[in-house]
Amino acid sequence: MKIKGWIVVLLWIAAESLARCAGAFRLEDRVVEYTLDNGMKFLLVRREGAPVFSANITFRVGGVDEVPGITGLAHLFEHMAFKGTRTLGVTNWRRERPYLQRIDEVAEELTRELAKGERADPKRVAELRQKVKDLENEARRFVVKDELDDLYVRNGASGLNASTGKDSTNYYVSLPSNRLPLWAWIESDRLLHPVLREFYSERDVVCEEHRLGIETQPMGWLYQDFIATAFLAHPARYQTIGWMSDIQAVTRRQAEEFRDKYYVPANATVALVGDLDLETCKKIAARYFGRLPKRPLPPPIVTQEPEQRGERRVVVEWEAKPWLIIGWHKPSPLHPDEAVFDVIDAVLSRGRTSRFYQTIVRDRKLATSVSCFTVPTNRYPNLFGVEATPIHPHPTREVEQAIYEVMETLITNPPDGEELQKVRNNLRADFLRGLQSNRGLANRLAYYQAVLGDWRIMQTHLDKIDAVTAEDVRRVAKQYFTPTNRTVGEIVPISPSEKKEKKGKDDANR
Amino acid sequence: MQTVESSGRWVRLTRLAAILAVTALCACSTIPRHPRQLRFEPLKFDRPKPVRTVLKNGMVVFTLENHELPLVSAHFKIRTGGLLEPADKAGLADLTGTVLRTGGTTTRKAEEIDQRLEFLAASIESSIARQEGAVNVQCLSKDLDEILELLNDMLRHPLFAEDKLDLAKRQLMESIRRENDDPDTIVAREFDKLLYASSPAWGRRPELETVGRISRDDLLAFHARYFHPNNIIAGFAGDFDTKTLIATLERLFGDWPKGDLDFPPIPPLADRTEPSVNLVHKDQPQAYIQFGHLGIRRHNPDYYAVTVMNRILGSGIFTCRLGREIRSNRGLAYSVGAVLTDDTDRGRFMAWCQTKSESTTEAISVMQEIIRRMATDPITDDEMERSKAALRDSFVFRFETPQQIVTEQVRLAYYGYPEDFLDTYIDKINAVSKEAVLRAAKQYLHPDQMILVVVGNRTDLKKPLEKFGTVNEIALKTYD
Repeated sequence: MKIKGWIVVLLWIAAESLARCAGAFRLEDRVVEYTLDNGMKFLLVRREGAPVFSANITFRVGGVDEVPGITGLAHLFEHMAFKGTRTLGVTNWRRERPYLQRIDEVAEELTRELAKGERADPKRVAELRQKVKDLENEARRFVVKDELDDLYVRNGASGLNASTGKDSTNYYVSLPSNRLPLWAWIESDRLLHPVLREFYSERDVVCEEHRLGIETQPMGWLYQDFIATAFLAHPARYQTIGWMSDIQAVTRRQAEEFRDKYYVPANATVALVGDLDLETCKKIAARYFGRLPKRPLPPPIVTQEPEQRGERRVVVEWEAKPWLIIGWHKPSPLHPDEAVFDVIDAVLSRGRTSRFYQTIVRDRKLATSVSCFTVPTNRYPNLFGVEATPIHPHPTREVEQAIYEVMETLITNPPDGEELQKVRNNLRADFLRGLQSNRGLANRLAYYQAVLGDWRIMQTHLDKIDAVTAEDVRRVAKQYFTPTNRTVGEIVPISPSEKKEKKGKDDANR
Repeated sequence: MQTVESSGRWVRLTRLAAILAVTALCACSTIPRHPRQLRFEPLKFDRPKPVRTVLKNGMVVFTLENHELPLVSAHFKIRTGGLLEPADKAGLADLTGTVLRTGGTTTRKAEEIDQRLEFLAASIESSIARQEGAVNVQCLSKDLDEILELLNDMLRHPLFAEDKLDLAKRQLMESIRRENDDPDTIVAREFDKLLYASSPAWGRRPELETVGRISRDDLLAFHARYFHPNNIIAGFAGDFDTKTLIATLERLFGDWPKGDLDFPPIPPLADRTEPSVNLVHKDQPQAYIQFGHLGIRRHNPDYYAVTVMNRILGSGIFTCRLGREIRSNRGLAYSVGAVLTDDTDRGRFMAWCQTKSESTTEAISVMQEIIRRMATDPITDDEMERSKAALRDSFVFRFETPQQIVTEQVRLAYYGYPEDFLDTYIDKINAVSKEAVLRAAKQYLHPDQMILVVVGNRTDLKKPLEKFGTVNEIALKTYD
């Protein structure tokens, strides 16, 4: 009795101290790693609760892997991955195949005609466009519309989607636990036997996405120009959605080449989190994904961004209110200074006690918000960014100046004591909150592994944050936040009449 | 097989049995040719049910313990909203919600509260939307008592400090100035204004002038009128002991007396929507399109038939009629959909997409035709089955985390859903017939009452849009 009682007390103490100490949750104890012979990596976490699981497959391929002419292809391919396989989305793929080849030929002819620029024959262009449309409609007789989505939806899928960034492409879905084999069937089949059908109508959908995100959105447009100004050489400079002219010209065969190069098993990480039996997960992983042949990893990117030798500015004129974005080059997230940048980000812009908020938003009332971010890539050196929404009638230049003044305090009065402790507390709490949902945890595990090379960084990074000192902040601020190293982007408002005048002038010049 | 045949009968049978057993195992461990051949073990799921407690002062509290992580989150709903503010002070509810949190209390300076909350990595955030006030709380479980004390002070003794009100007003005014930068905001705003013309409170937005008129006294009065414990429903999820929590809440909030509840009447919405065609000029290559009419009242018994109809018509991205035709077949839009919603008074039917200027009329015509046919064309078995399966089998995701469960429970209680709503949901969805869906479509979709709003380039769109009726141009306000 006595002994039992002691055990109970000990267990109680253990539980109590765990609950009292926010950082005590060890992810290492929960994540099971499993790698197939072909190199595909699985990260498995079992957790009790609702009988559901979240799956995330992340490929280390994104916008940075593109070159001019095919910008936007990683993203367009992600759309195409939902169009089916030899089994899904089609009644008879053998009979469908000749149609797809015929469509390719006409579409490629269209691309060649358009490439003639001013000498292109508008009549021929219109004819070829119509021909592609007609042929795709003809081929639809074999199509079982969106069968992949249909299967998932019928089986209770939640949050079925995919996303593409500069660094990675992610395919995710949450399902009732008993549907694990269904997930494995569909996902392995679309890697083994994909068919990129309905390519050209989907390309049109992506053009609409480009209009939606960039051509009708001043901030989207400015961001595009800002990144392309900050980076001259590195492919980080293109938007993930791509240049409109590239999207409109890219072909199905180019998409297939892209897939063959990057969608290899060793380039993928799979995270499964939820109410699952992990041994079953391993068996199913091996059975379904073990069928994928081992293939070489895609080639590395060799281009490096040259050092910046002076401030760069970019202006976008729009019928909109002013807006400001600033970025400084910094090393990739695997550099030891990354933790210092995270601390600086929080000190400057996290919450109502942050330095930007107190000075620029609350006291001087120059902007509705000033925030920090890191863009556009995490695989390569990137930018530490600041963006601000000025309050009328303060011009962007006044807000910009105020931002530099606050950032100067990182050197003259670096954060110490309570201010640093606050940041540590918040980043630890963020980590814990990120564990609450299956989906969030699956997404992050897959992302850290695929993009940064190790999911453990999620947790070990917290220890690095703890070690950051005031001196580190001063040194990093001094070294990186220089005028020479920065790029500034602004939206400059113009009135509709000014816009008309400018258009008139351009026309006259032509 | 040959060895089996060469053996004696008994042995043969055993061998056969063994082979059959092996075959059966293979059936499980091989991959079927089509995923439809997969069979799944049935799922067992007991939805965790939050405990409901009513404090002595009338505050309703739902609790759901979960000790996996040392975190607590809470969600409060206060029965108030922008609907209840005077028209000439539009923005009052919004500002009250903001400054409740940022304006300090009678005994604690705002800066002190910010400092303490952020040091503890905790947050209390308040807001008041059109139909509800909300406070969301997050903290580490070790800090729960201190956070509740702060929350108690904030809910009961807000100071609404002048300088913080001034800040909030400037911020709100700046966001008003910026509304016209985003075509999405414009299309939603203009659609609401037209849709709710018969009772403008439903579509009203703050203007520079109405915000300018709002004073600290207005905030104090608005708060005093609606912030009573018997006007609050709360939900807690996470790492706490329910008994201890309830005792703490009784101790902290116990001396907050019940208040008289008095809500100004909101004029009812008209039964019919006046159709119109509206164009907002914006020089851009894509048209933002939205059209629709008034919907159904909350707790309408046809809710389940409508839910299935939504799924078939426009709420399943690719697996609905609109998504399939407009996006997947024609490549006309990235985002397209339609939904008939219920609401406290009248919900809405709303269809939307964004497409390049030259395909605007094609997109609208095809969408309208698909909507018209929802009430006339037979629904296929396939559509019925898919929609019901989707609703049924994804139901569990409403209850994935304790936070979700509690927040959903608070919402249902706030909007007066029957207690067995969640328990009967699946059965009621299953019971919906094709005829019921068709009937709902006939009764609630009105192709002749569509308000159409398009934001896009006048030069490209004005003439083509005349196909749908006389085009009314809406001028955008300009701000300095």
